[in-house]
Amino acid sequence: MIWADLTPGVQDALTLAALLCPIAVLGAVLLQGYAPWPLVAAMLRRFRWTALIFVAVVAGSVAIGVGLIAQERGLRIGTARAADGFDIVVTAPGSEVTMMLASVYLQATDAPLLDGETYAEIAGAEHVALAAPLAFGDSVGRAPVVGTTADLVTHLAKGPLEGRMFTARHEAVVGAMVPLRLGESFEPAHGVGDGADDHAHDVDFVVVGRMPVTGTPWDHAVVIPIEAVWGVHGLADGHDAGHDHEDHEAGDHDHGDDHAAAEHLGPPFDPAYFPGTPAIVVKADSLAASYALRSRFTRDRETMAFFPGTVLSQLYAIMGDLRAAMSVMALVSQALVAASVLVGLFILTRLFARHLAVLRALGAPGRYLMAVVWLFSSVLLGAGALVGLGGGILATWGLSRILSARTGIAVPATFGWAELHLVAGFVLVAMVLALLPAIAALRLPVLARLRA
Amino acid sequence: MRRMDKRALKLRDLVVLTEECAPLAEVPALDVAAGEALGISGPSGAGKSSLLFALAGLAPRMRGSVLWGDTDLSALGTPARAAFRARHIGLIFQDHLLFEELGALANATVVAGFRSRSERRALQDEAARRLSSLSLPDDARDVSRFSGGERQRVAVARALAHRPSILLADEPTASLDSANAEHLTQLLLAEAHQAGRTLIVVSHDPQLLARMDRVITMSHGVLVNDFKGGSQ
Repeated sequence: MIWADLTPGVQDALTLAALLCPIAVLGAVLLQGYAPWPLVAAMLRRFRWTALIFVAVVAGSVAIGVGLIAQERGLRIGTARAADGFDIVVTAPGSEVTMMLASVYLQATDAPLLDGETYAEIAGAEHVALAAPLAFGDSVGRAPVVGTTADLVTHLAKGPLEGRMFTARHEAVVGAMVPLRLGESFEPAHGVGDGADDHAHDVDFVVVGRMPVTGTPWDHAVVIPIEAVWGVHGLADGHDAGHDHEDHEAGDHDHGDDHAAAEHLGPPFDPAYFPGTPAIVVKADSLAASYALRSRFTRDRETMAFFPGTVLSQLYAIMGDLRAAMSVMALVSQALVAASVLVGLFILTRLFARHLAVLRALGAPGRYLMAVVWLFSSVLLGAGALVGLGGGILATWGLSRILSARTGIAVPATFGWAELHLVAGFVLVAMVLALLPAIAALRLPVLARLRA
Repeated sequence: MRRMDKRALKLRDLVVLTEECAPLAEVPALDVAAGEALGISGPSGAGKSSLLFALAGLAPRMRGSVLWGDTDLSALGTPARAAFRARHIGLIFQDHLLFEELGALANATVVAGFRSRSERRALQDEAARRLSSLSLPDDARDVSRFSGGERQRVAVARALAHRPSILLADEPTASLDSANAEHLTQLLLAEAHQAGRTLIVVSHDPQLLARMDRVITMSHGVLVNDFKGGSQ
């Protein structure tokens, strides 16, 4: 209705206002006509250490809540962005999730291969702007080595390379975060991780280009021509040797000779010499074509085509339930914190029970006593919430850097309305709860405190 | 006199009770004239302070009537009693009960927080005047650094800042040395005799009691003696 017609930004702002408004009304009603500030300020000074600890506890809990929300969203945005460049992935039938992890997030896996006929059919299909085969399995240090075509590198890089594109089999383009310099050579190991066999391939590559930062795991990858991957594994190189003026013997690596003629790299590949690929990244020339291509290449027992974005949203749908569970947990823990805050406030109120008794004896109205206690609590809660908000943002920023480094996915440290809503909601609940000790302060036996 | 005169006190069948309804003090009848200086003496635990706090409307329970002018405190609820104190009664406690974290002026004007803006101004002026006439330093120093005599004078300034018509004091000289006690006694009596405030003081201090217009004695919660005399 009217609410739904508003832009999300306006809705969020109104929600925030709705959360803050009761606090303002509560404060206005309690403080109307009174001047409790000097007394409250003096009490804060006097009990500053207690107050500081209290603020720190509140800030800690708020920061954790803010951090959780922001981090979860950051991770979602980051993983989705990483899949941006991959419109359609075509693989042999199997697990979409596994193949998405392998192709988009470079989590190596053993997968059945698609043959040259299939590749040729896909590459030659109408509306296919790009069809790049992938080959995984090797590594340099901790960086996975991916074999593919120059077109895919250009597509993923979304910007000019530092250096240049590989134009020969022994050349490599590295991701932005790979610790290899331009001109440096390396020998890939067979396999990935601890089990990698360092000297299985007696082949040297030289780095000729570096991709700009893409925010994807490809930032940590070493990309070489797919012909080279096939070559070092002793397979055909996708091209008819007769047309290439060179042999493709594995292990024979005298690159000086290879340079004589420009090597034929990339498509078109000759199906007869195509050793197979576990995944083909396809880009269609239109959105409608994407859907058409996906259904065309989804064929039982032959090929499986999927949108990584869709697979991700399925994963998010599952994670959404987790998120709901986490939100409940976050809420429960915030409620627990609110409860302990309440207990803390009762204890704090005891600290100045005598002050309150004296004020009462001097004729202070009940609302004034409530105003003093509530204002004192509110200053602590407000300060804790603000510090916690700042702390949460800082923590998000720090965690994003750690997560980005660990996963290779650029996790943006964002700051959204949800955090503000959480903090405002917490403050609202806590400040309403702060009325309880304020009301309790009215019931303290005055005379006993005066004569204590 | 000022506003409606609330200075004359009339107690009738007053029984002050604890929260558990045990009797603390019983006064069948007592009249105190406007501007009179009344001392309440008696051994510890005789119910003197209980009676004094009942006169301020601070007893948890009481029966009978406590009439200040035409206002019966025993018939009022807690908020109305507080309002009456705020308007008409100045209270001085044995151990001062100052706000340690505040300075002298802030202590003397601590009731300003719940008064209207216009009253606040007058209260500030009166408190400042009082403090300087009591030769107290009006600096930002916390009263926690003050001597006992200085602290009690701040308490007096606080009790008088709103120009109450009634001044109630509980053992005001108990924590003071003799010089300070004498100084305070003069101060309190001046409030009764010159400013016309009704002064009721609970005390063990014979020097103080001897200067009062009249002294009543309590024992085991009942009035045993009513002695007219003193400084007049």
